Amino acid sequence: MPRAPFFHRLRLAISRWFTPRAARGDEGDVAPAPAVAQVPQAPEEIAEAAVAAGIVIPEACAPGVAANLALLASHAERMRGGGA
Amino acid sequence: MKSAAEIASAVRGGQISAMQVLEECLDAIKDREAPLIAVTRLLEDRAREEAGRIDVMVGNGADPGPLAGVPYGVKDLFDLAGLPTSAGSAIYADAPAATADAEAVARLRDAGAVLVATLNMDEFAYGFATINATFGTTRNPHDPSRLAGGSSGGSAAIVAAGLLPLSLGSDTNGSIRVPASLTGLYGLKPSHADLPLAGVFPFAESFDDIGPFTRSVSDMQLVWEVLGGKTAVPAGGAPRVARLGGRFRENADPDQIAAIDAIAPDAPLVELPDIARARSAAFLITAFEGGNLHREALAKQAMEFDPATRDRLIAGSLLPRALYEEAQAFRAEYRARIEALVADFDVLLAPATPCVAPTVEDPRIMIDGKLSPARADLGIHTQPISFTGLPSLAVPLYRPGVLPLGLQLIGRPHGEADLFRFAAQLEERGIIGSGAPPVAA
Repeated sequence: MPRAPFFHRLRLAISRWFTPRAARGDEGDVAPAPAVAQVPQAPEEIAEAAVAAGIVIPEACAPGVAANLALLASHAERMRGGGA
Repeated sequence: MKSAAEIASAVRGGQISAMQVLEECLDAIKDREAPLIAVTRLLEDRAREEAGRIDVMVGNGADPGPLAGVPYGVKDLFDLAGLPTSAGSAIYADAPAATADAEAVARLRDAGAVLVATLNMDEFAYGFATINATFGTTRNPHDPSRLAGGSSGGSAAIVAAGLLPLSLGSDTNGSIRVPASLTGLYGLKPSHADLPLAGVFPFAESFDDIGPFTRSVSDMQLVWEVLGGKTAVPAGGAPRVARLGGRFRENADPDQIAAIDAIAPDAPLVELPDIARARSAAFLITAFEGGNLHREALAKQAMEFDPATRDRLIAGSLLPRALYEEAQAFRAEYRARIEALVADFDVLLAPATPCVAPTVEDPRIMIDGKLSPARADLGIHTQPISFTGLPSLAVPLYRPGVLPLGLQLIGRPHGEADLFRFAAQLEERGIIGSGAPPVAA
């Protein structure tokens, strides 16, 4: 993976130094909100997930895969207490 | 077709040979099975070898076992030595042969049973319909224009037609109980992982189980004892019964509700909390585990999968692991909650399917007032029970001349013996029972 330019990394480090620790989320009494796992649904999200899984989705399957992912997204919402 | 117990008794007593039982069985299958599309492979050579061995034992005065000479079939996902395990898929039709029988098959063989056939299923057990692109759609012996249910549809149809006295299936979210209900049979999903899974092609390991289909409670108990290597010992005293309420009564046939209320009119109505959340979590876990199991094959040869399962499996393989882990955490908490809730009961009564068998032509069912695909939703009442890991025995309401419908008798963990005792009482009262096999097959 290519590294960020030196000055950009330096600016991030300085900015981090002046940021209160709690707001940085690495400790203190304000915990960062946990990321909620989402079902990929947008075409670019599906494509990204397929690449990560090592699967090339055949063209003929794309609509069916998207429909099934939409169904699974509704199940995720319902599992979390939503009214899907 | 006699019961498994009757056949075994006659073979052990020398009144009939295992070979004679087998040949009559093979003739009947060749004569009547084709319209059902239940059999994927007829194993004549193996069956004759097993039957011959039983007859030699009887001739020598040895004990051939409690299932002596009883012909049976297995869903096409049990390993059989010398044969590829297809799991209902063209992809595995030419897979390397299994080197040994699945443990369940070995236990039945050691008990004297004779394996006759492998049986049709939804590809990779993903569905409640037994609509299979490679082997065809299994038909319901009670009405060949209707589905037999799935995914163990072949195992159900062959027994319901009276062509075999018992068969084995697998049940991940209802794949034994759904077809049992639609074809009028007894079908057991045991306490999770209580019956041997070694040598069984997996689907979603968090929920996978195997179990028998039979036409009577006594045969069910006999096969369960052989498979589990134990004796059913029910708890003493009158069984403590409850009726499941809420969604279990909202999507049900009026005959099922009437039967449940007639069986236990004074039993408390218990509502399992968060049942819709549980079913959704089960969907997510199943999709993730199934998708990841087949990820490599999907990457290489997706278009060779059955179109009916392919898109579902690909979608499952794209789910984030964090979501799966969230569903598993919910499951662990939910199981503990439900076990505590039902601890005071030996039997919970619920419908097995929301309706009778849908037609092959229009495989949709009504759920919450809307038409919904049978392939995904026939398990609306079985899937939440699989999620808890509790044992559940599907039993057929006795209603000759009408399409079959089943109930679930759900027990405490490892409470199968109580379920058998209660089912035997209902059978004796004439409330449940398989009745005569339909003539249509």
